Amino acid sequence: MFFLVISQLGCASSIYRTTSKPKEKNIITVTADRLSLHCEDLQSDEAEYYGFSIYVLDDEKTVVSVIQTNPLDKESCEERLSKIGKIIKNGKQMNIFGYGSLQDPRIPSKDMVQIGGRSFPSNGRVLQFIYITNEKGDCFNGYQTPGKSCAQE
Amino acid sequence: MARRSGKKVTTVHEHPRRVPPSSKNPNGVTIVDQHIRRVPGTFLDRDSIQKIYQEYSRKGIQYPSSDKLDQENADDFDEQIAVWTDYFNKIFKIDPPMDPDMIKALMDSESSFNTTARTKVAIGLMQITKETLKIMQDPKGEVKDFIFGKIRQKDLENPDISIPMGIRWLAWKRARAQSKLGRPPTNEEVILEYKGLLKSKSKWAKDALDNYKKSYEKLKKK
Repeated sequence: MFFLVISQLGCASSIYRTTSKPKEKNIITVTADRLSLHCEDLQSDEAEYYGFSIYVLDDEKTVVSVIQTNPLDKESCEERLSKIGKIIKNGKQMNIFGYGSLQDPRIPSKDMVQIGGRSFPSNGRVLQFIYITNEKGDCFNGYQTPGKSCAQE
Repeated sequence: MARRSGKKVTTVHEHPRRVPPSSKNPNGVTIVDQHIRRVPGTFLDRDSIQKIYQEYSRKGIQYPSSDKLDQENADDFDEQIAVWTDYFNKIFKIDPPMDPDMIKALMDSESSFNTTARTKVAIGLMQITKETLKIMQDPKGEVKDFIFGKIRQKDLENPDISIPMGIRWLAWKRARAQSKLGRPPTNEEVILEYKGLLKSKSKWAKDALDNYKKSYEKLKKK
């Protein structure tokens, strides 16, 4: 498992806010102290596959998973750790766009996730990662369509 | 002219073929060397994909549900999904048949309906890997009973190509999951096998399957 530890900012500046648009397109507005990026070795019996996840600590101290739902090769997953890590370090406030429901009941699970040096339970909410931006306009799209702007999809 | 040399190929004997007259062939006739040709129904290339898709009877085929998923272009590929799911269900006599909604939810999970989605190794709507592309075109490989030919990596960004290839690969993965499990697989096990994760215990695999199930349930919701 590879992951990126993002240094914790002061609690006073910590933000978690969600905006739901039609058709379950969600925007999570969040500060770096609530984020953790992971490339998980999927232990595939076919190839070396990794799963990319952004774990987000919500306002109930449970964790929402925002995942790229196709398995990745190691290089593509590490590229996400690096590029999204820079976006998070460069920005004060991130917008993460993903498809899925943030209205489902939270179901705390045994899966614990480390964020800011502490463990929190996953809450069963999973969004499909589309893209992340910061207030400076830095952006990364999980599907990287050539010729389209990052935030277009 | 042709002699059967096995179940999936015929040997075409040396024969004349009319061509436009040229300095090389002033009589307008060339000699075609003996070569191997796949039996119809065991092979697709770009031309035959296009021909079958255009001529395929739409009568009675099952379409995936529309206007249920989140992405704006989610319904753009319904016709290709319907035709090719029906085609491969019949070619391989799959029982129970593959469900077009399953293909559509898988497409959502693999690329979010982004035709040009790319990683270092996987391309297109169905995220077919470069290695899988080789296997699917290898007449001696693990899917030799039905292969594709003359498909290039950049063709996988074309839904007309990537959808039949993805569905053919899913049909193979279904058979493979059955072999691994020793029983007919559930749809979800087939999806995990497509992703190469049938035996994975990872949290990500659980989350990805959960995401797939939600898409599939949306498609089935009346």
